[in-house]
Amino acid sequence: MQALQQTGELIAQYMAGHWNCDCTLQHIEQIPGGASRETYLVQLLKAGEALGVVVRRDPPSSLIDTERAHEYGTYQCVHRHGVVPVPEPIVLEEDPNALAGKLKRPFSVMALIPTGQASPAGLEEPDMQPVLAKLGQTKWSLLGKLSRLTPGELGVDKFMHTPDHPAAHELAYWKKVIETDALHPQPIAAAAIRWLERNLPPPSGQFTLVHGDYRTGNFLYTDAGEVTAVLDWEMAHIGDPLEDLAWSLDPLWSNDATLAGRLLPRAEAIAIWEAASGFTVDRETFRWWQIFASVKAIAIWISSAEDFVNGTTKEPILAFAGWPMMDRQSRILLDRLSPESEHQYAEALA
Amino acid sequence: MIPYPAKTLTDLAVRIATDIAPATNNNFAAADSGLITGLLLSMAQDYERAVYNPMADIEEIKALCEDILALPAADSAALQALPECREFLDAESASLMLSDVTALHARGLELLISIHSWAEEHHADINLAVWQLLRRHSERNKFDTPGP
Repeated sequence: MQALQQTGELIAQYMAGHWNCDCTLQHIEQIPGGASRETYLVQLLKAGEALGVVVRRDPPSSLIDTERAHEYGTYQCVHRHGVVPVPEPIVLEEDPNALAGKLKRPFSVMALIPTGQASPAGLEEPDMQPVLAKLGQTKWSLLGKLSRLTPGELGVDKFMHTPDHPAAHELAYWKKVIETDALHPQPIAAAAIRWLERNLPPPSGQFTLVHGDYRTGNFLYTDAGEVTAVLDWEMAHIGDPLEDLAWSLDPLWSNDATLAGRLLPRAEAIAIWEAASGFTVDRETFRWWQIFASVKAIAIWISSAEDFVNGTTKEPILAFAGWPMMDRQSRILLDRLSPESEHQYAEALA
Repeated sequence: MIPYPAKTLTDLAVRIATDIAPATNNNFAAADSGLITGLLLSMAQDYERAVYNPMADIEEIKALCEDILALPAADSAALQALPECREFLDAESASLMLSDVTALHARGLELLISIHSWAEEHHADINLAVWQLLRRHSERNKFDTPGP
């Protein structure tokens, strides 16, 4: 607790220098669930005025290996455009020696979104049931609106690579992660990768900013069914819009097999996205992206397990991802690919 | 030694969930407690089946190898892992220590991946048999653990 308080005071000291005014710490707490960055909610007194910020600091190792500048730049672009609500980025500090190295690792600071919670379990509360449909409508409308924009309209093409063939590019990347990090052979993932390679769809020609982890748990919602912010853009990249849609519908994100992201039936979510994006989902191509989503997830769970075993960070979420979540994701893939599948997790083509 | 590790780990998990987690006024610590509870419950399930499950896989892969070796030579000619199939039939774990069983299990799963890759292109019946094996493997290893 003393270390946490000390971190807060150092952050206040850093921000005083950044804003060139008095800045003192009122309160700090670490936010759970930050698998890729240590995340702190910090209440400051800036020149006498109360101000909340969120600080995301690089951990010694993380679930997802990402570039902090890339993530910060994405927040800047999306915030500037306003198509999706995101926290206002305030400062990115990449120098680990800033403040005489006392904060130890690079970090970014963003404005606190004062309303909303991210907890997927919170959606199961009785008072949320009447607004789930509204929340689902908002969630997939926002994604559809994002999909409608070109990378140039958002400005992300200035620092993001545009792949010639998004599906092939993404598959090669995550296949390599599995090959590099797997601690034990993965016959189900291997079969899925072979299937994806055999059935690679041609490039759709539609390029957009892909969030990369667009799912329930990565946005803030209110009990009125509003989305107040979309968070965790660390895996954002330029790619095919179907990638985000498929990821958002993965059965892993819902305990109820009939609901996407604990909110809506999958078919309804797809229809909302189609209306907002102006795209029509090709079912066969979408099947590819759905199977890819599960392979990508398995790659992340494998990588997190490797990090937990061999890395310096012993965050329980890394072990949890690499153990029970890995088991569930493998069964989802079996459900999608096995010739005798009973499709317990999702409809055959959805 | 308490000869009921699964029950003991489950009791520890329940202790964290019911006594320790509610006592903390720190959200981060409470979330960690939830994850550690889930991990202990997973460990409890895996502890009981830690040797049985990989040994069951190994026996099934051996049976699959026997089926492949019984095929007419022309049917399995394209299977580069055919010699490994023969060798695996005689393979035994150096001991019942989990590390030894895991090593043999890894060897079996690598062989299974090679067989599956071949069967997808060359032998529909073996391909189906591999999927059925994977289904049983998956059901054996299924966790009954709440999500994070």
